[in-house]
Amino acid sequence: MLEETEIQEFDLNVRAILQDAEEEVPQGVWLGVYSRIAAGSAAGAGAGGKAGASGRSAGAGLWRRTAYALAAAAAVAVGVFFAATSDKSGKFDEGQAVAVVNPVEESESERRAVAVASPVEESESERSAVVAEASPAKVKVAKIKVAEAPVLTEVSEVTEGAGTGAGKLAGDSARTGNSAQDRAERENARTGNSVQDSAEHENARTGNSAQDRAERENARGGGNEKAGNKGLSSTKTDPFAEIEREDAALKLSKKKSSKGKPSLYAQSTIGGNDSDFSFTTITPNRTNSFKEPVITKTGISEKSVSTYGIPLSFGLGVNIPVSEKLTIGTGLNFSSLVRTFNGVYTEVDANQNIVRTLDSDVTHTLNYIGLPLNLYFHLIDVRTVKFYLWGGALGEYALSNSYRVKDASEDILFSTSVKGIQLSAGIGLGVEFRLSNHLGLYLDPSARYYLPCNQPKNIHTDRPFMLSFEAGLRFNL
Amino acid sequence: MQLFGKKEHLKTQGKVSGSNAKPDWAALVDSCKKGDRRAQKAVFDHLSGKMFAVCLRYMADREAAEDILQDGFVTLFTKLDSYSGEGSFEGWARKIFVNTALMSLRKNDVLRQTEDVEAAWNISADGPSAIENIGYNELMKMVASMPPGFRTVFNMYVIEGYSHKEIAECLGISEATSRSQLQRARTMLQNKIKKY
Repeated sequence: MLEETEIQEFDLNVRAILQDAEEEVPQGVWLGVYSRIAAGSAAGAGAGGKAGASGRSAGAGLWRRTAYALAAAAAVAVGVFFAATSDKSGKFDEGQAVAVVNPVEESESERRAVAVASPVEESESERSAVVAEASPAKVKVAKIKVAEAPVLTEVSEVTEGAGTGAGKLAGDSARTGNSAQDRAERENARTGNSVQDSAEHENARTGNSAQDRAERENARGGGNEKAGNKGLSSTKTDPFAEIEREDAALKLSKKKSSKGKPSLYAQSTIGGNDSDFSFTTITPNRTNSFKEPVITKTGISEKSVSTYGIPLSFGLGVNIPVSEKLTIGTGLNFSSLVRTFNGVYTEVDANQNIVRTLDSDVTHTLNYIGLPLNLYFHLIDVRTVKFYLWGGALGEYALSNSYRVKDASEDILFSTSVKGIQLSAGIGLGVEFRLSNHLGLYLDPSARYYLPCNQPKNIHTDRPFMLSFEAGLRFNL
Repeated sequence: MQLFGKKEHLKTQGKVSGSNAKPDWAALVDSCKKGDRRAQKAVFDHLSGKMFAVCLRYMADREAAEDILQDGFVTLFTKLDSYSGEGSFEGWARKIFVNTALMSLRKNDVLRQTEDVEAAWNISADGPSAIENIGYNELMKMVASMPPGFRTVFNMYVIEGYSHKEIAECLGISEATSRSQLQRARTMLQNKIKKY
């Protein structure tokens, strides 16, 4: 056992090291505090503290934050989705032929639909009611399922990617949809209040002894505090002069530091402003404006309308802050555009003799590699969430352009090269949920316009204006 | 030797406070009470570094400490009226952060877990530890690695200067438990320092 004096010496040493230490305060804490006290004073002096505290409960850990983020994400996804899919039934062309459906695609859509939990069921029945009134065909219900499923699977995929294993959470929050968020808030408010109450209680209980303790602390602390007090009383200056000076200094240092650090991102984007985009309202293109099929050489001519697959894109990149409010992002995207149609494949030999023709289903796949350049403008940036506007351009080069013609024995593969760059411009509003200091989950609903760039027929040439939904993870370096 | 370690530490402390002169707390607090945002920001800037260190000392986990820091400041600004103006403002503020941390620990029932580890720490230290070789960061790591109950009592008694009676009241344990927890915590820390 140690001697009493040794213990005291040890305690004093530890105390000397730890007592007045300072740690670098993470960004955003002040904003969080300020927004809460501002909200508190706005709600009136009495209820002020409670309103402030209900903003965020004490000790909200990674799990709770993740749950909120996912609930919010699900709500956003559902919201975006309904906004995008509502009131589309009227758009179907009367008497339009039912589009070709690639069996592969269909099974895929089924798989997706299975992966999604009950919200689809619910919304589906609603949806099908609407569609049934509009009456064109029952096939369309199935189509809508295709369109609806991916947005939700997107969310669960992202969850898995986050490594939080919160698939269940995603499911739960998705199932309850918008109400999940409400409940989360309600719960938050509840715990917030009780925390506040107990804070009051605690303060009242220990409040009186504050003075005693401070004095004792001075006595034990070897006069550190006393010296401080002395200095305090002798330097009576105008407090505001000092604040202003500090504010200026702070702004300066903020300019240097608050630019933030670069981050890496991994994203996936899903496009589609139409619940019916697997149909096209454009009439079948039998004229020569379709570039590939010219009978003087091997090619394909289209006989039916196209059924477009959902445009999907995946990307990796880096975001570099250029100022406190602006960030530039760039990277590489890979996107795949698939469509199916009924067409005639004509094979022509060197002497321009037709070797064979085949009337069959054709799957056309266009793969692009793209270089995005985006500018992000930060609107609100608090500790757990960040809102921003963004806009940018995307240049895409076709890596491959292939047609698979279904044949009884073996499918025929036919591909041509594509020249030029597909340019597009997009704008959007984004939200990023900070799951931890280094990881953020972001959602960027956006609108994108594809410029005519002499590309093979695809969904973008048919529908140059497209709403899309990007989701991804940002890793702050 | 001990003195050398202390001096070194005080030297760095002097540097910090030298570049960051103590503000006129009374005037600042008055302005804060009137809802002056600049004054609130100034209070935050003056205290946040130290108070974050306090939070980290109790919570060990950065994320949780950040939450305590934010909650503590909200409480501080909303309870500013209860500050009498006598005694050190920093001491008053520190109490708020300690209380906020304790509430969180108690709410999550972290403090109860200490009973289980009681048996495991019956090692006695046989001489003074070489604490002069330990820096702030290493010591913080060691403190963070202690079981929450040990850490809490150790922090409250050794750093904040609470009595065992107060600790017992605050944490809802007996004074004897507070004493034994402190002794075990101290022994554990000394052993960690020795191994370092």
